[in-house]
Amino acid sequence: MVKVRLEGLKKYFDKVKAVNDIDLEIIPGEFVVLLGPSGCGKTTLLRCISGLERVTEGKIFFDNDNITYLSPRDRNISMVFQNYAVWPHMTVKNNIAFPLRIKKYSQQQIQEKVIWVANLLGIDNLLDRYPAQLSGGQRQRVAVARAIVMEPRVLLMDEPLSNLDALLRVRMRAEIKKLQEKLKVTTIYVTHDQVEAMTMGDRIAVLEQGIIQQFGNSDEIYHNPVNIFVAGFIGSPQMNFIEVEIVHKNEIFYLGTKGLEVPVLDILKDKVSKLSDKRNYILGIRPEHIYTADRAQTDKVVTTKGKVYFAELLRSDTVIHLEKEFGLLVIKTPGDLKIEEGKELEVLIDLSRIHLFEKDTRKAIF
Amino acid sequence: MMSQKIPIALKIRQLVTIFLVGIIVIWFLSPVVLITISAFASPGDYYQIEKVIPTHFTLNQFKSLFFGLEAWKAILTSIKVAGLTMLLSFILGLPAGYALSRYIFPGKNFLKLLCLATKMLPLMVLAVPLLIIFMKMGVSDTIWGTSLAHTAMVLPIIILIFSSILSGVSVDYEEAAMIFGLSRLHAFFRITIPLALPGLAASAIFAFVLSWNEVFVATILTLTNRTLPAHILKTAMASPDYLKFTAGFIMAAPAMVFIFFVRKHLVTMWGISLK
Amino acid sequence: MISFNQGEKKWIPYLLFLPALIYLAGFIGYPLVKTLQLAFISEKGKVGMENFITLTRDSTFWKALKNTLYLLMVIVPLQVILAFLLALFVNGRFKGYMTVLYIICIPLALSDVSAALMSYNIFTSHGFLNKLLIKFGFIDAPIYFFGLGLSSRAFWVIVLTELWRATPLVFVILLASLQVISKDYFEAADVFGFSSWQKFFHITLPLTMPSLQSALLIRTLFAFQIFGVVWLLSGRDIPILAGEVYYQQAELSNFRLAATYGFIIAFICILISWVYLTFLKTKHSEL
Ligand SMILES: Nc1ncnc2c1ncn2[C@@H]1O[C@H](COP(=O)(O)OP(=O)(O)OP(=O)(O)O)[C@@H](O)[C@H]1O
Ligand SMILES: [Mg+2]
Repeated sequence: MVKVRLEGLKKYFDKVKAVNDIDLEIIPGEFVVLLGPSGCGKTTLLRCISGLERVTEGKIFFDNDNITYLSPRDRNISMVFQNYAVWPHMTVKNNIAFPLRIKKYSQQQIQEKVIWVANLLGIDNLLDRYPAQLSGGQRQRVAVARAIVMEPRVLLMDEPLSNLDALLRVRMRAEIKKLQEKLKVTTIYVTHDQVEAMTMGDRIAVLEQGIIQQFGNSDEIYHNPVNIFVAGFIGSPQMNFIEVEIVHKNEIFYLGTKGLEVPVLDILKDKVSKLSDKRNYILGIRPEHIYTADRAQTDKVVTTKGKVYFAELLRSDTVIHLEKEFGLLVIKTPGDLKIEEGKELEVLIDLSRIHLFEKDTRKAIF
Repeated sequence: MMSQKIPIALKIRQLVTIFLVGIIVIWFLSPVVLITISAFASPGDYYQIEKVIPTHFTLNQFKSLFFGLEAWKAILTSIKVAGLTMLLSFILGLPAGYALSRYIFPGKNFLKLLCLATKMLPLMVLAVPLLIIFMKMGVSDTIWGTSLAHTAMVLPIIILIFSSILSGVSVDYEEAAMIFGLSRLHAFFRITIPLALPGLAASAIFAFVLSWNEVFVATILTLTNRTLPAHILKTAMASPDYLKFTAGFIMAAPAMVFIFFVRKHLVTMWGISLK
Repeated sequence: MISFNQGEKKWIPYLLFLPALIYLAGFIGYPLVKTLQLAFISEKGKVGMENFITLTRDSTFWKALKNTLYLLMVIVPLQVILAFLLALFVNGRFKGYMTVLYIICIPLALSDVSAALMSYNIFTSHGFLNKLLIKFGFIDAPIYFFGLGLSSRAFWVIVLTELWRATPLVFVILLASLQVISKDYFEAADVFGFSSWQKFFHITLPLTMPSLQSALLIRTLFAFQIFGVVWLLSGRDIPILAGEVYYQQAELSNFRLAATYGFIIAFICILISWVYLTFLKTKHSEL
């Protein structure tokens, strides 16, 4: 188990700032997920850590060793590539055994390790096949087997599940997570799939344009997003964003716009009262924190009405798009609701779950 | 400390690369450059043994080659033969290549293999009987005879190249056009051909160059209507050296210009044709 | 891809291929049969090996066979090695590699006749090599490479010329196969601790092996067809099989012996291809 520390890491491709000044500290044995939209620099960051990419500026430490300029082979890492990169001319067994042979393990050790890892991943009956004779899921297991058998100091994975079908993906998600917990190897896992990130990561680093927007566990990322980007990127359907002004009436602060007035709870009052400017704020509320009248989970709510514009009937959930003066308000409620389009509907916004952002800086106030 | 080592290693790498590039360029380019110099050098300079780089240049060799030795006729023949070969292999090869790239049918692999197998066949074995056949057909010693033979040589390769070029144009475009009401033939000419045009043009040039350069068959099949290489093979060895160089240059120059135009396709085309 | 199940349209691909097929049958298939006829029927009309017997009694045949094989054994390995090194180098994608690629490919555009003339220009008695050597005082009088009794010198000039002319052919095949190797395989090798040598021997080499083998085959087959360079640089001083076809046909108008030579070349080529195809096969297939 090793601690990974990145200090002011930068990687520029000519003008493109793929990784732009990243500081990150990963504790030994942790499973960290790098999450972000396509092109935000996840792969580049991972490749910098692996040494496949030479950093433009900054330092990388494994424990207290500065490994910034070490070649990949000297870093004692291993990696699961996005398209696996299992060598097509070697059998499964050789794919797993060859790196061990290079590291000068004895013949017997290699034999034992291969059998151990093959059993662990359920590929013991495939050992003599060539990669071309394997399915995508099997190939992926080989890639994982090859990576973990090395007992690396750090295990890197670049969207290893993105090529699998939905069912297999869910299963492999659990398997990889379990495996990592068992092996306790420090792991950095790249994905653009938030479900993967939320379910697998001990902590999640949300990236955007080469910058880490937020680094925290799934609870923090979901409940306390630090800015509009993180708030919008996590959760599905996306959080509702409504431009509001702060109104002070009868000792109560309201976040208001045409057709909606949301009172601020007492516990948040201090934060709002400190704000000097009264305009240019964004109210954020997740669809799952707006309830239909019969399903209210708390009495700290505010009621609002609107015409149903469109309803997505997922049967397990129902997503309702409500027409309001400021645009559409999206509500997600569990269960199979009978909703008619065009009908007037009353919904309750959970006051303890609202977020407020500064419009200009896009930073969260709460 | 580490960070200072890297630029030095890089520098050394760069220097080695430059050095190797230099050697490669000299090795491959110097024969071409030297024959260009010799083609224009005056015979007097050529026969002066101390004169490495000639200083007097002349077009006399070109004149005597063109008119004295009637190379202009051979050049014309070469152009006609190569053009005809190009045309024939296009007309025959395009539908065949299309069939290979767009349809799945029993016997397809056999046909592919057939095309591959003909490439293993040496031309020598064909030249002799072809002469007899052409004599019977009455096309021996004509432009037609040579280009028919050259087409037989080029066609299998061209079919494979076409098939790979057409496979490179997604069938979706063609099918989309068919959905919007074009016939298959229409779709092919309106959609696929324009998309494949650069590749097709390059293969046309490729066919031309193959025919332009071919000497064995051309020499055997003709007596009077010789293509340029055949003409030079027959006459040049009996001519003075300086004329040989000019002849070599005349043959090389157009082919090199052609190749320059298809340089983007070089690797794919020769890669396919040689596999 | 379209696969037709309706009986109606099944003939379309065949129809498309038919003209080409007929052409190939007429101008390759038929001449082949004709070659057999010529080679196996003697002047008096007897079917048999008579032509072959005539041929093998001629010492030139054995010389031609020996020279062809000798040339092949010198040129082919050198060419493949050089081409592989070149392909590896160019595949490094340094700045300006496209230009270098183009320059390497220049000989591809040239006929063997002009290649021969280019090397004649360098190696003849008043050629650049002799002039340079004299200029710098290495020699006093020109070295002669061509002419009677100098066939061993001419042989090496021919080897050099063929190396210059045909290495790019092999180079192109090998470069094409290097270019399709996914970068990922090398990066995976980097991560798993391969040294440069190990990467070469355990990734590059096995993955290019199929192309390397087919390049080897192609070059071997083409080596039997070397003609222009040898004919121009040494005439019949260095007899070779392809040259003998030409000589018998064009100079002696002996169709039968020419066809017999042709048949022998074809036979050897087919034999080599067959051996190659049966004994060299890679087990894995590409992903
Ligand atoms: N070799 C390169 N040369 C130039 N630009 C590059 C290179 N590699 C990546 N980039 C650029 O750097 C940025 C980050 O790319 P990166 O591959 O890290 O994104 P990513 O987050 O992994 O995206 P995805 O989810 O699509 O894989 C992109 O804008 C990309 O275009
Ligand atoms: Mg990526």
